Amino acid sequence: MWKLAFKNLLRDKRRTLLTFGILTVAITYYIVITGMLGGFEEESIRNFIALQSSHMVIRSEDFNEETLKGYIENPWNIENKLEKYPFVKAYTERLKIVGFLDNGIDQYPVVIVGIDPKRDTTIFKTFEYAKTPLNEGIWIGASIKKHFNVEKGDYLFLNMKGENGVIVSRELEIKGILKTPDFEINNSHVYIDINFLRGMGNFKGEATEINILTDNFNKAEIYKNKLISAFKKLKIGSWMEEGADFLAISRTKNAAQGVLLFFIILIGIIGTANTLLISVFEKTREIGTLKAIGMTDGEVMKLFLSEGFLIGVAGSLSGVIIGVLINWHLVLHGIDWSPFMKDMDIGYKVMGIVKNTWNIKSIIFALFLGPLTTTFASYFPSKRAMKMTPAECLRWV
Amino acid sequence: MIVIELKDIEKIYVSGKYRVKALRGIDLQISKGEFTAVVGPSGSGKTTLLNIMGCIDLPTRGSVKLHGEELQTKKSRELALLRRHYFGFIFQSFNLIPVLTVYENVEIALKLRYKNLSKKEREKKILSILQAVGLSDKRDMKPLELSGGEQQRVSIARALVKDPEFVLADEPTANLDSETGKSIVELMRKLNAEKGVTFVFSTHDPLIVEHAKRIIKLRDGKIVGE
Repeated sequence: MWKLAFKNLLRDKRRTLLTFGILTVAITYYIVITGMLGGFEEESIRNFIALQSSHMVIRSEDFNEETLKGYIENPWNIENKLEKYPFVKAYTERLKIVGFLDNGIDQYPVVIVGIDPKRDTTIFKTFEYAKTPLNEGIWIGASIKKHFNVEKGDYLFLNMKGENGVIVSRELEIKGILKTPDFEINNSHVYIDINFLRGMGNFKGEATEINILTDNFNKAEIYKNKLISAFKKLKIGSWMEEGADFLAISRTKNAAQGVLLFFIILIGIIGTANTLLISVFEKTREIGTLKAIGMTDGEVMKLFLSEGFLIGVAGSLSGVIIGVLINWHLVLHGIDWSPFMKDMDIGYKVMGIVKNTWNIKSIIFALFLGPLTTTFASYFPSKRAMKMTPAECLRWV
Repeated sequence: MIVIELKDIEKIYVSGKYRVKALRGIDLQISKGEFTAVVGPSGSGKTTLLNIMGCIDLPTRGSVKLHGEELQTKKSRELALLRRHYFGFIFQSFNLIPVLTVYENVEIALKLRYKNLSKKEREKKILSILQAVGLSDKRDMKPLELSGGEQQRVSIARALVKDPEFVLADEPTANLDSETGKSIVELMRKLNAEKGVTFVFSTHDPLIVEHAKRIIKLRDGKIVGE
């Protein structure tokens, strides 16, 4: 049975090769795209943690995400307590205030982020993008630079409401331009020395958040629960909670993967069904002969299902091999997406070279996907062959 | 001993609006060991009659009995198993599987009939039948590499390898030259005499008809003489 199925596939090599090719391309595509999306996700999470969330964030219980109000009055008290926890590797405080920049003509709403330049670098990578120390100046996002058409060394007015509700304004030198993989930072963030900001707004020692670096970001949820009992009246969030909105994109991406998968299955089904349907038409008389010599309808069906299965196995194997090789290359070297993305926000926090990841589940799934799909697809032509009586088959011209 | 019994057989083919009566009330009995020729002009119903005798087709009306067992009520699978166990078929256009070698074409029928035969036993049986039909040296050739006569010999080997009780041959010499045709008939007669296989074959080749022990004359779907 298998021998005949195999030889039948070799009978019209071109047609078999076409179906096999379609399947190979589809499976390869699936593996590479899955690896690529995995790479985008991993890189996005890495950048989100390194630029915005850290592993954990402590905020005041009454912190309001929209107005950024609700301060931690004595951050150093909390920081002292954090020292006791061995999983806490570093911490820093940030003061975030809503404000706006202006150049005397135009205004631009921003989030002013006060940072402790020394401690911030132990947790965040912002300095790697700014390259120049803050001193008494500001780093601004790349889109803000574009908006005001300013360069490093130029000056802008930073305006905000101080502690007592009075609007304060200060002309500050632009020390660095932040072109980061995080579009939120590029579009709306201004960084300033936290002590300078406190002085400017007459804030005493408040912070809006304390960012924590732990020994393992994957354990952020577990560590968070350990801290919750010790820091009552404070809100503690892991990076997963902080990035809930952004992580929702991953879920959308998974749905997109589902659509991709559906099309791959569809290609496999149509391609195989087409090949085998033509094969059934061409071999009708042979089917008649096989039935005449005693093959049952079930055995005839098995023969065609075997043909479908074999082509699926071959397509899957070659697709997986090629897919793994391409993915391997992309895991090592990645793709430089800068020419394609430019200033476009694609929902991922990535920039420049993004390396693929290994998605073992999808590779194993792809191995089974081909044979399952093609065997299923061969059911319909097989059924046709099964339904015809031997006499009808033998009369077929 | 009567092994196949046909009573009042009628077969109508329907193609769209058209209804063609291929057989009109056939009564026929085939006994064990017969070497019977069904003769008649084209369209007289020879192939249809053979198909009904061999469980390849079912009649529109009438009764077909194999060893006294009614076939009309049998399911497709049961009919396939009867064909597998009792019948060998030889076709006018050989109907060999082109992708398989001579050996494999014979083997496929044998494998269906005897599922539990070892590879060695299978090989022994196939080589013996190929020797009987004079094709021992062509076992690894594909059907299209053989002459018409050789292909028909493969077809005979395929029919006989499973030790059938009946061999139904539909115009086995129609596509062969007269010399080859004669040798095929002689081979069939030899197997009939030596192995006691019942042969029923349709033909309008007078050369073959003269070898038959029994001749059934068919015209317009009716038996008009014997």
